[in-house]
Amino acid sequence: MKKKLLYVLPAAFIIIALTGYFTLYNSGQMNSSEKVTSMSGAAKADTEKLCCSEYMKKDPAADFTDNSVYQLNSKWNNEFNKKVSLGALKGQKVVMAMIFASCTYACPLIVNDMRKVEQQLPEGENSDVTFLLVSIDPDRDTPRALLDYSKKQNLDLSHWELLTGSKSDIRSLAALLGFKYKKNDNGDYVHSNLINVFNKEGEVVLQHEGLNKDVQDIVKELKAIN
Amino acid sequence: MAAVLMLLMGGILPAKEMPKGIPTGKSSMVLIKGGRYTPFWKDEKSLIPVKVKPFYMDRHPVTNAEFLKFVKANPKWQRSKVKSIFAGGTYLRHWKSDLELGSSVDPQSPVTNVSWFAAKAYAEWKGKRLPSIAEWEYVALSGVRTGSETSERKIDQKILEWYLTPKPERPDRVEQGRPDKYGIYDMHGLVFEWVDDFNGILSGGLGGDGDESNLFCGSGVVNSSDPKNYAAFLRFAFRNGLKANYAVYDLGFRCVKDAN
Repeated sequence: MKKKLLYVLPAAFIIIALTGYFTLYNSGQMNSSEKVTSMSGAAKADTEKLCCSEYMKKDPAADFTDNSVYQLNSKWNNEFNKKVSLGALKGQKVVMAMIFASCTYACPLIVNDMRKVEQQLPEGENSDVTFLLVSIDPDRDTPRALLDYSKKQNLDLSHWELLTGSKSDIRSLAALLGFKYKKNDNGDYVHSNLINVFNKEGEVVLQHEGLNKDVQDIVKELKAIN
Repeated sequence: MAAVLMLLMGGILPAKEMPKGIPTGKSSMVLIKGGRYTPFWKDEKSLIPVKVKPFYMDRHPVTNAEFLKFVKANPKWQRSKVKSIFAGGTYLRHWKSDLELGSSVDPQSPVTNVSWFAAKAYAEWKGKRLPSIAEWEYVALSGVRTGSETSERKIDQKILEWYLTPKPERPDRVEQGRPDKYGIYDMHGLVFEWVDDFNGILSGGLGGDGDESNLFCGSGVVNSSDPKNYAAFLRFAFRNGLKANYAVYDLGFRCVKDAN
Protein backbone atom coordinates (compact mmCIF):
# COMPACT_ATOMS: atom_id res chain seq x y z
CA MET A 1 0.00 0.00 0.00
CA LYS A 2 2.73 2.35 1.02
CA LYS A 3 4.74 1.41 -2.01
CA LYS A 4 1.82 2.20 -4.28
CA LEU A 5 1.54 5.68 -2.83
CA LEU A 6 5.14 6.30 -3.71
CA TYR A 7 4.24 5.95 -7.37
CA VAL A 8 0.79 7.45 -7.27
CA LEU A 9 1.75 10.71 -5.59
CA PRO A 10 4.44 11.81 -8.04
CA ALA A 11 2.29 10.65 -10.93
CA ALA A 12 -0.58 12.79 -9.67
CA PHE A 13 1.71 15.78 -9.38
CA ILE A 14 3.00 15.34 -12.89
CA ILE A 15 -0.52 15.08 -14.26
CA ILE A 16 -1.59 18.22 -12.45
CA ALA A 17 1.49 20.06 -13.63
CA LEU A 18 1.07 18.95 -17.24
CA THR A 19 -2.61 19.87 -17.23
CA GLY A 20 -1.68 23.30 -15.99
CA TYR A 21 0.97 23.62 -18.62
CA PHE A 22 -1.32 22.69 -21.50
CA THR A 23 -4.14 24.85 -20.28
CA LEU A 24 -1.83 27.83 -20.23
CA TYR A 25 -0.21 26.83 -23.50
CA ASN A 26 -3.56 26.52 -25.23
CA SER A 27 -4.96 29.76 -23.91
CA GLY A 28 -1.89 31.47 -25.30
CA GLN A 29 -2.21 29.78 -28.69
CA MET A 30 -5.93 30.14 -29.03
CA ASN A 31 -5.95 33.88 -28.86
CA SER A 32 -2.88 34.68 -30.83
CA SER A 33 -4.82 35.19 -34.04
CA GLU A 34 -7.54 37.25 -32.45
CA LYS A 35 -7.27 40.95 -32.63
CA VAL A 36 -8.80 43.22 -30.09
CA THR A 37 -10.00 46.40 -31.61
CA SER A 38 -12.15 47.74 -28.86
CA MET A 39 -12.50 47.51 -25.15
CA SER A 40 -16.11 48.56 -25.16
CA GLY A 41 -19.21 46.45 -25.18
CA ALA A 42 -18.96 43.03 -26.69
CA ALA A 43 -15.31 43.34 -27.48
CA LYS A 44 -14.58 43.53 -23.79
CA ALA A 45 -15.03 39.81 -23.55
CA ASP A 46 -12.21 39.38 -26.05
CA THR A 47 -10.00 41.67 -24.05
CA GLU A 48 -10.58 39.54 -21.03
CA LYS A 49 -9.76 36.36 -22.88
CA LEU A 50 -6.62 37.90 -24.25
CA CYS A 51 -5.53 39.10 -20.90
CA CYS A 52 -2.03 39.17 -19.65
CA SER A 53 0.26 36.72 -21.34
CA GLU A 54 -0.71 37.72 -24.87
CA TYR A 55 -0.14 41.39 -24.19
CA MET A 56 3.24 40.72 -22.72
CA LYS A 57 4.38 38.72 -25.71
CA LYS A 58 3.25 41.23 -28.26
CA ASP A 59 5.85 43.59 -29.63
CA PRO A 60 4.33 46.87 -28.56
CA ALA A 61 5.79 48.86 -31.42
CA ALA A 62 4.70 46.54 -34.17
CA ASP A 63 1.08 47.48 -34.51
CA PHE A 64 1.18 51.19 -33.84
CA THR A 65 2.23 54.31 -35.68
CA ASP A 66 5.29 56.21 -34.49
CA ASN A 67 3.18 58.91 -32.87
CA SER A 68 0.70 56.60 -31.25
CA VAL A 69 0.22 56.84 -27.50
CA TYR A 70 -0.13 53.08 -27.67
CA GLN A 71 3.62 52.84 -28.17
CA LEU A 72 3.64 52.93 -24.39
CA ASN A 73 3.68 49.27 -23.56
CA SER A 74 1.99 49.73 -20.22
CA LYS A 75 -0.53 47.47 -18.51
CA TRP A 76 -3.49 48.79 -16.62
CA ASN A 77 -6.32 47.43 -14.54
CA ASN A 78 -9.82 48.43 -15.47
CA GLU A 79 -12.84 48.93 -13.23
CA PHE A 80 -13.48 45.19 -13.33
CA ASN A 81 -9.91 44.48 -12.28
CA LYS A 82 -9.04 43.08 -15.71
CA LYS A 83 -5.55 43.66 -17.07
CA VAL A 84 -5.75 45.76 -20.21
CA SER A 85 -3.32 47.45 -22.51
CA LEU A 86 -4.00 50.88 -23.96
CA GLY A 87 -3.27 49.46 -27.40
CA ALA A 88 -6.46 47.44 -27.20
CA LEU A 89 -8.21 50.73 -27.95
CA LYS A 90 -6.76 50.86 -31.44
CA GLY A 91 -9.62 51.28 -33.88
CA GLN A 92 -11.66 53.34 -31.43
CA LYS A 93 -11.94 57.09 -31.19
CA VAL A 94 -10.96 57.95 -27.67
CA VAL A 95 -11.89 60.85 -25.41
CA MET A 96 -9.54 60.63 -22.49
CA ALA A 97 -8.71 62.43 -19.26
CA MET A 98 -6.52 61.80 -16.24
CA ILE A 99 -8.33 62.26 -12.94
CA PHE A 100 -8.59 60.95 -9.39
CA ALA A 101 -11.83 59.71 -7.92
CA SER A 102 -11.73 61.55 -4.61
CA CYS A 103 -11.19 64.87 -6.36
CA THR A 104 -13.99 67.18 -5.36
CA TYR A 105 -13.37 70.16 -7.52
CA ALA A 106 -11.90 69.81 -10.99
CA CYS A 107 -12.32 66.14 -11.89
CA PRO A 108 -16.11 65.98 -11.62
CA LEU A 109 -16.19 68.96 -13.98
CA ILE A 110 -13.86 67.21 -16.42
CA VAL A 111 -16.02 64.08 -16.33
CA ASN A 112 -19.05 66.27 -16.81
CA ASP A 113 -17.48 67.91 -19.85
CA MET A 114 -16.81 64.47 -21.28
CA ARG A 115 -20.39 63.46 -20.58
CA LYS A 116 -21.51 66.53 -22.49
CA VAL A 117 -19.50 65.31 -25.46
CA GLU A 118 -21.20 61.94 -25.17
CA GLN A 119 -24.61 63.62 -25.16
CA GLN A 120 -23.84 65.95 -28.03
CA LEU A 121 -22.70 63.19 -30.35
CA PRO A 122 -25.52 62.32 -32.75
CA GLU A 123 -27.19 58.93 -32.39
CA GLY A 124 -25.12 56.25 -34.03
CA GLU A 125 -21.95 58.29 -33.96
CA ASN A 126 -20.80 57.16 -30.57
CA SER A 127 -20.60 53.45 -31.20
CA ASP A 128 -16.87 53.62 -31.89
CA VAL A 129 -16.06 56.21 -29.25
CA THR A 130 -14.55 55.20 -25.92
CA PHE A 131 -14.54 57.60 -22.99
CA LEU A 132 -11.46 56.82 -21.00
CA LEU A 133 -10.60 57.94 -17.47
CA VAL A 134 -7.14 57.14 -16.18
CA SER A 135 -6.54 57.59 -12.47
CA ILE A 136 -3.46 59.39 -11.20
CA ASP A 137 -4.09 58.09 -7.68
CA PRO A 138 -3.28 54.37 -7.69
CA ASP A 139 -3.15 54.16 -3.88
CA ARG A 140 -6.78 55.07 -3.43
CA ASP A 141 -8.27 54.35 -6.85
CA THR A 142 -8.46 50.59 -6.80
CA PRO A 143 -10.52 48.95 -9.55
CA ARG A 144 -13.31 48.64 -6.99
CA ALA A 145 -13.12 52.37 -6.18
CA LEU A 146 -13.23 53.15 -9.89
CA LEU A 147 -16.28 50.96 -10.37
CA ASP A 148 -17.98 52.77 -7.50
CA TYR A 149 -16.96 56.06 -9.07
CA SER A 150 -18.46 55.06 -12.39
CA LYS A 151 -21.75 54.35 -10.63
CA LYS A 152 -21.64 57.57 -8.70
CA GLN A 153 -20.98 59.47 -11.90
CA ASN A 154 -23.60 57.43 -13.73
CA LEU A 155 -21.23 56.39 -16.50
CA ASP A 156 -22.43 54.02 -19.18
CA LEU A 157 -19.77 51.32 -19.01
CA SER A 158 -20.45 50.18 -22.54
CA HIS A 159 -18.77 53.46 -23.63
CA TRP A 160 -16.68 54.33 -20.60
CA GLU A 161 -13.55 52.70 -19.34
CA LEU A 162 -11.72 53.50 -16.08
CA LEU A 163 -8.11 52.51 -15.58
CA THR A 164 -5.60 52.41 -12.77
CA GLY A 165 -1.95 51.48 -13.09
CA SER A 166 1.51 51.71 -11.61
CA LYS A 167 2.92 55.07 -10.55
CA SER A 168 5.62 54.74 -13.15
CA ASP A 169 3.20 54.04 -16.01
CA ILE A 170 0.94 56.87 -14.92
CA ARG A 171 3.94 59.23 -14.90
CA SER A 172 4.91 58.10 -18.41
CA LEU A 173 1.43 58.52 -19.83
CA ALA A 174 1.14 61.96 -18.25
CA ALA A 175 4.57 62.93 -19.54
CA LEU A 176 3.60 61.88 -23.02
CA LEU A 177 0.42 63.93 -22.95
CA GLY A 178 2.02 66.95 -21.30
CA PHE A 179 -0.31 66.46 -18.35
CA LYS A 180 1.16 67.86 -15.14
CA TYR A 181 0.33 66.65 -11.67
CA LYS A 182 1.70 66.65 -8.18
CA LYS A 183 0.63 64.98 -4.98
CA ASN A 184 0.00 67.34 -2.08
CA ASP A 185 0.74 66.67 1.56
CA ASN A 186 -2.92 65.91 2.21
CA GLY A 187 -2.86 63.12 -0.37
CA ASP A 188 -4.82 65.04 -2.99
CA TYR A 189 -3.43 66.07 -6.34
CA VAL A 190 -2.89 69.31 -8.15
CA HIS A 191 -3.18 68.65 -11.86
CA SER A 192 -3.77 70.01 -15.34
CA ASN A 193 -7.32 70.03 -16.62
CA LEU A 194 -6.96 68.31 -19.91
CA ILE A 195 -9.23 66.28 -22.17
CA ASN A 196 -7.43 64.46 -24.98
CA VAL A 197 -8.85 63.07 -28.20
CA PHE A 198 -7.06 60.12 -29.82
CA ASN A 199 -7.75 59.03 -33.36
CA LYS A 200 -8.12 55.36 -34.21
CA GLU A 201 -4.34 54.96 -34.31
CA GLY A 202 -4.03 56.34 -30.82
CA GLU A 203 -2.50 59.61 -31.95
CA VAL A 204 -3.39 62.73 -30.01
CA VAL A 205 -5.44 64.88 -32.36
CA LEU A 206 -6.88 67.36 -29.91
CA GLN A 207 -6.12 68.64 -26.43
CA HIS A 208 -8.91 70.54 -24.76
CA GLU A 209 -7.68 72.51 -21.76
CA GLY A 210 -9.71 74.04 -19.00
CA LEU A 211 -12.99 73.43 -17.24
CA ASN A 212 -16.60 74.01 -18.11
CA LYS A 213 -15.78 75.24 -21.57
CA ASP A 214 -17.77 74.61 -24.71
CA VAL A 215 -16.98 71.07 -25.84
CA GLN A 216 -17.96 71.61 -29.48
CA ASP A 217 -14.29 71.40 -30.49
CA ILE A 218 -14.18 67.82 -29.20
CA VAL A 219 -17.47 66.85 -30.84
CA LYS A 220 -16.30 68.34 -34.12
CA GLU A 221 -12.99 66.53 -33.95
CA LEU A 222 -14.68 63.21 -33.24
CA LYS A 223 -16.96 63.66 -36.23
CA ALA A 224 -13.95 64.45 -38.41
CA ILE A 225 -12.07 61.28 -37.52
CA ASN A 226 -12.68 58.51 -39.99
CA MET B 1 8.80 17.84 -8.14
CA ALA B 2 9.58 21.45 -7.65
CA ALA B 3 12.25 21.13 -10.28
CA VAL B 4 9.75 19.73 -12.76
CA LEU B 5 7.40 22.60 -12.07
CA MET B 6 10.21 25.09 -12.44
CA LEU B 7 11.12 23.62 -15.79
CA LEU B 8 7.54 23.85 -16.95
CA MET B 9 7.24 27.41 -15.73
CA GLY B 10 10.47 28.30 -17.46
CA GLY B 11 9.01 27.08 -20.70
CA ILE B 12 5.76 28.98 -20.57
CA LEU B 13 6.46 32.26 -18.93
CA PRO B 14 7.22 35.02 -21.42
CA ALA B 15 10.88 35.79 -21.52
CA LYS B 16 11.31 39.07 -19.73
CA GLU B 17 13.64 41.72 -21.00
CA MET B 18 16.25 41.27 -18.34
CA PRO B 19 19.32 43.44 -18.24
CA LYS B 20 22.41 41.32 -18.70
CA GLY B 21 25.72 41.74 -17.02
CA ILE B 22 24.74 44.82 -15.08
CA PRO B 23 26.83 45.44 -12.03
CA THR B 24 24.45 45.68 -9.11
CA GLY B 25 27.12 46.73 -6.65
CA LYS B 26 26.50 49.99 -4.91
CA SER B 27 30.02 51.30 -5.23
CA SER B 28 28.96 53.59 -8.04
CA MET B 29 26.22 54.91 -5.79
CA VAL B 30 26.21 56.82 -2.55
CA LEU B 31 23.79 56.37 0.33
CA ILE B 32 21.83 59.51 1.11
CA LYS B 33 20.37 59.15 4.55
CA GLY B 34 17.41 61.33 3.80
CA GLY B 35 15.98 64.24 5.67
CA ARG B 36 13.80 67.20 4.97
CA TYR B 37 13.72 69.39 1.95
CA THR B 38 12.04 72.76 1.82
CA PRO B 39 11.18 74.06 -1.64
CA PHE B 40 12.46 77.52 -2.38
CA TRP B 41 9.17 79.17 -3.08
CA LYS B 42 7.60 81.03 -0.26
CA ASP B 43 3.92 80.28 -0.22
CA GLU B 44 2.52 79.16 3.09
CA LYS B 45 2.00 75.56 2.10
CA SER B 46 5.50 74.88 0.95
CA LEU B 47 6.92 75.98 4.26
CA ILE B 48 6.09 72.47 5.37
CA PRO B 49 9.22 70.55 4.43
CA VAL B 50 8.98 67.47 2.23
CA LYS B 51 10.31 64.31 3.84
CA VAL B 52 12.97 62.56 1.81
CA LYS B 53 13.46 58.86 2.56
CA PRO B 54 16.91 57.25 2.42
CA PHE B 55 18.09 56.35 -1.07
CA TYR B 56 21.19 55.63 -3.12
CA MET B 57 22.26 58.12 -5.75
CA ASP B 58 24.67 57.68 -8.65
CA ARG B 59 28.02 59.24 -7.85
CA HIS B 60 28.10 60.95 -11.22
CA PRO B 61 25.73 61.59 -14.12
CA VAL B 62 25.38 58.76 -16.64
CA THR B 63 28.20 59.02 -19.19
CA ASN B 64 28.24 58.57 -22.95
CA ALA B 65 30.10 55.27 -22.49
CA GLU B 66 27.49 53.99 -20.03
CA PHE B 67 24.61 55.05 -22.22
CA LEU B 68 26.23 53.40 -25.24
CA LYS B 69 26.07 50.05 -23.44
CA PHE B 70 22.37 50.63 -22.89
CA VAL B 71 21.55 51.35 -26.53
CA LYS B 72 23.64 48.36 -27.61
CA ALA B 73 21.58 46.11 -25.39
CA ASN B 74 18.30 47.84 -26.26
CA PRO B 75 18.23 48.53 -30.00
CA LYS B 76 14.89 50.31 -29.83
CA TRP B 77 16.69 53.15 -28.05
CA GLN B 78 19.21 53.61 -30.84
CA ARG B 79 19.08 56.93 -32.61
CA SER B 80 17.72 55.64 -35.90
CA LYS B 81 15.20 53.32 -34.29
CA VAL B 82 13.72 55.37 -31.48
CA LYS B 83 10.10 56.49 -31.87
CA SER B 84 9.74 60.24 -32.13
CA ILE B 85 7.05 60.17 -29.48
CA PHE B 86 9.75 59.03 -27.02
CA ALA B 87 12.71 61.07 -28.25
CA GLY B 88 12.75 64.04 -30.58
CA GLY B 89 15.00 64.67 -33.56
CA THR B 90 17.95 65.89 -31.50
CA TYR B 91 18.22 62.61 -29.59
CA LEU B 92 21.90 61.61 -29.28
CA ARG B 93 22.70 63.85 -32.17
CA HIS B 94 26.24 64.47 -30.87
CA TRP B 95 27.12 60.81 -31.45
CA LYS B 96 28.66 59.78 -34.73
CA SER B 97 26.14 57.04 -35.39
CA ASP B 98 23.78 54.64 -33.64
CA LEU B 99 26.61 52.76 -31.96
CA GLU B 100 29.63 55.04 -32.34
CA LEU B 101 30.41 58.04 -30.20
CA GLY B 102 32.90 59.44 -32.67
CA SER B 103 36.18 61.16 -31.91
CA SER B 104 34.68 64.46 -30.77
CA VAL B 105 32.66 62.87 -27.98
CA ASP B 106 34.35 62.01 -24.70
CA PRO B 107 33.06 58.67 -23.41
CA GLN B 108 33.52 59.95 -19.87
CA SER B 109 31.40 63.06 -20.36
CA PRO B 110 27.80 62.99 -19.22
CA VAL B 111 25.44 61.82 -21.92
CA THR B 112 23.17 64.63 -23.04
CA ASN B 113 20.61 64.96 -25.83
CA VAL B 114 18.59 62.26 -24.09
CA SER B 115 14.85 62.42 -23.57
CA TRP B 116 13.06 61.72 -20.31
CA PHE B 117 11.72 58.48 -21.73
CA ALA B 118 15.22 57.34 -22.69
CA ALA B 119 16.62 58.30 -19.28
CA LYS B 120 13.81 56.46 -17.56
CA ALA B 121 14.31 53.36 -19.71
CA TYR B 122 18.02 53.40 -18.92
CA ALA B 123 17.32 53.65 -15.19
CA GLU B 124 14.86 50.76 -15.32
CA TRP B 125 17.32 48.65 -17.30
CA LYS B 126 19.81 49.24 -14.48
CA GLY B 127 17.24 48.29 -11.86
CA LYS B 128 17.20 51.89 -10.75
CA ARG B 129 14.92 54.88 -11.26
CA LEU B 130 15.12 58.61 -11.86
CA PRO B 131 15.25 60.79 -8.75
CA SER B 132 12.22 62.81 -7.73
CA ILE B 133 12.49 66.58 -7.68
CA ALA B 134 12.59 66.42 -3.88
CA GLU B 135 15.42 63.87 -3.84
CA TRP B 136 17.49 65.72 -6.42
CA GLU B 137 16.98 69.10 -4.82
CA TYR B 138 17.64 67.72 -1.35
CA VAL B 139 21.09 66.51 -2.39
CA ALA B 140 21.79 69.59 -4.48
CA LEU B 141 20.93 71.98 -1.67
CA SER B 142 22.19 70.14 1.39
CA GLY B 143 25.30 68.70 -0.27
CA VAL B 144 27.01 72.08 -0.36
CA ARG B 145 26.11 73.13 3.17
CA THR B 146 29.38 73.35 5.01
CA GLY B 147 28.28 75.19 8.10
CA SER B 148 30.37 78.21 7.34
CA GLU B 149 28.23 81.04 6.12
CA THR B 150 30.91 82.82 4.11
CA SER B 151 32.08 79.74 2.23
CA GLU B 152 28.49 78.65 1.59
CA ARG B 153 27.72 82.05 0.20
CA LYS B 154 30.67 81.76 -2.18
CA ILE B 155 29.62 78.30 -3.33
CA ASP B 156 26.04 79.44 -3.89
CA GLN B 157 27.27 82.39 -5.89
CA LYS B 158 29.45 80.12 -8.02
CA ILE B 159 26.57 77.73 -8.64
CA LEU B 160 24.33 80.58 -9.68
CA GLU B 161 26.96 81.88 -12.07
CA TRP B 162 27.02 78.54 -13.81
CA TYR B 163 23.29 78.79 -14.44
CA LEU B 164 23.67 82.25 -15.84
CA THR B 165 26.49 81.46 -18.28
CA PRO B 166 25.97 79.74 -21.63
CA LYS B 167 26.82 76.04 -21.60
CA PRO B 168 29.46 74.51 -23.86
CA GLU B 169 28.20 72.22 -26.60
CA ARG B 170 30.36 69.44 -25.15
CA PRO B 171 30.34 69.11 -21.36
CA ASP B 172 33.52 68.19 -19.47
CA ARG B 173 34.18 64.76 -18.06
CA VAL B 174 32.41 63.64 -14.92
CA GLU B 175 34.11 63.61 -11.50
CA GLN B 176 36.66 66.27 -12.38
CA GLY B 177 35.74 68.72 -9.65
CA ARG B 178 35.35 68.19 -5.92
CA PRO B 179 32.56 65.97 -4.60
CA ASP B 180 29.94 67.39 -2.28
CA LYS B 181 29.80 66.41 1.35
CA TYR B 182 28.09 63.12 0.50
CA GLY B 183 30.78 62.15 -2.00
CA ILE B 184 28.57 62.96 -4.96
CA TYR B 185 29.95 64.72 -8.02
CA ASP B 186 28.62 67.17 -10.56
CA MET B 187 25.25 68.11 -9.09
CA HIS B 188 26.25 71.62 -10.07
CA GLY B 189 28.30 73.03 -12.87
CA LEU B 190 28.22 70.29 -15.49
CA VAL B 191 24.76 69.63 -16.98
CA PHE B 192 21.10 69.96 -16.12
CA GLU B 193 19.55 66.65 -15.06
CA TRP B 194 16.20 65.00 -15.67
CA VAL B 195 14.04 64.15 -12.68
CA ASP B 196 11.23 61.65 -12.62
CA ASP B 197 8.48 64.15 -11.84
CA PHE B 198 9.71 66.99 -14.04
CA ASN B 199 6.03 67.31 -15.01
CA GLY B 200 5.07 67.81 -11.39
CA ILE B 201 5.39 71.56 -11.54
CA LEU B 202 2.21 73.40 -12.19
CA SER B 203 2.29 76.91 -13.41
CA GLY B 204 -0.78 78.67 -14.60
CA GLY B 205 -4.10 77.56 -15.94
CA LEU B 206 -5.09 75.83 -12.75
CA GLY B 207 -7.68 76.27 -10.11
CA GLY B 208 -8.15 74.95 -6.66
CA ASP B 209 -5.68 74.18 -3.93
CA GLY B 210 -1.97 74.19 -4.27
CA ASP B 211 -2.00 76.27 -7.37
CA GLU B 212 1.51 77.31 -8.15
CA SER B 213 0.53 79.68 -10.87
CA ASN B 214 2.36 82.46 -9.10
CA LEU B 215 5.55 80.46 -9.07
CA PHE B 216 7.06 82.11 -12.09
CA CYS B 217 5.72 85.58 -11.57
CA GLY B 218 8.49 86.28 -9.15
CA SER B 219 6.57 88.30 -6.62
CA GLY B 220 6.90 86.89 -3.15
CA VAL B 221 8.29 83.74 -4.60
CA VAL B 222 11.96 84.08 -5.06
CA ASN B 223 14.13 86.32 -3.05
CA SER B 224 16.71 86.86 -5.72
CA SER B 225 19.18 88.28 -3.25
CA ASP B 226 19.66 84.67 -2.14
CA PRO B 227 21.70 82.94 -4.84
CA LYS B 228 20.81 79.50 -3.48
CA ASN B 229 17.13 80.07 -4.03
CA TYR B 230 17.63 81.80 -7.30
CA ALA B 231 19.59 78.85 -8.68
CA ALA B 232 16.84 76.48 -7.55
CA PHE B 233 14.29 78.74 -9.19
CA LEU B 234 16.19 78.59 -12.47
CA ARG B 235 16.19 74.79 -12.30
CA PHE B 236 12.44 74.77 -11.76
CA ALA B 237 11.89 77.15 -14.62
CA PHE B 238 14.06 74.97 -16.84
CA ARG B 239 12.18 71.78 -15.91
CA ASN B 240 8.86 73.48 -16.41
CA GLY B 241 9.72 74.18 -20.02
CA LEU B 242 10.56 70.58 -20.84
CA LYS B 243 8.57 67.97 -22.67
CA ALA B 244 9.25 64.29 -22.12
CA ASN B 245 10.63 63.67 -25.60
CA TYR B 246 12.94 66.69 -25.63
CA ALA B 247 16.60 65.94 -26.11
CA VAL B 248 18.68 68.93 -25.10
CA TYR B 249 22.44 69.44 -25.42
CA ASP B 250 23.01 70.43 -21.80
CA LEU B 251 20.53 68.05 -20.18
CA GLY B 252 21.62 64.66 -18.86
CA PHE B 253 20.57 62.53 -15.91
CA ARG B 254 21.63 60.25 -13.11
CA CYS B 255 19.82 57.43 -11.35
CA VAL B 256 18.80 56.61 -7.81
CA LYS B 257 17.63 53.52 -6.02
CA ASP B 258 15.60 52.93 -2.85
CA ALA B 259 17.77 52.20 0.13
CA ASN B 260 15.71 49.37 1.55
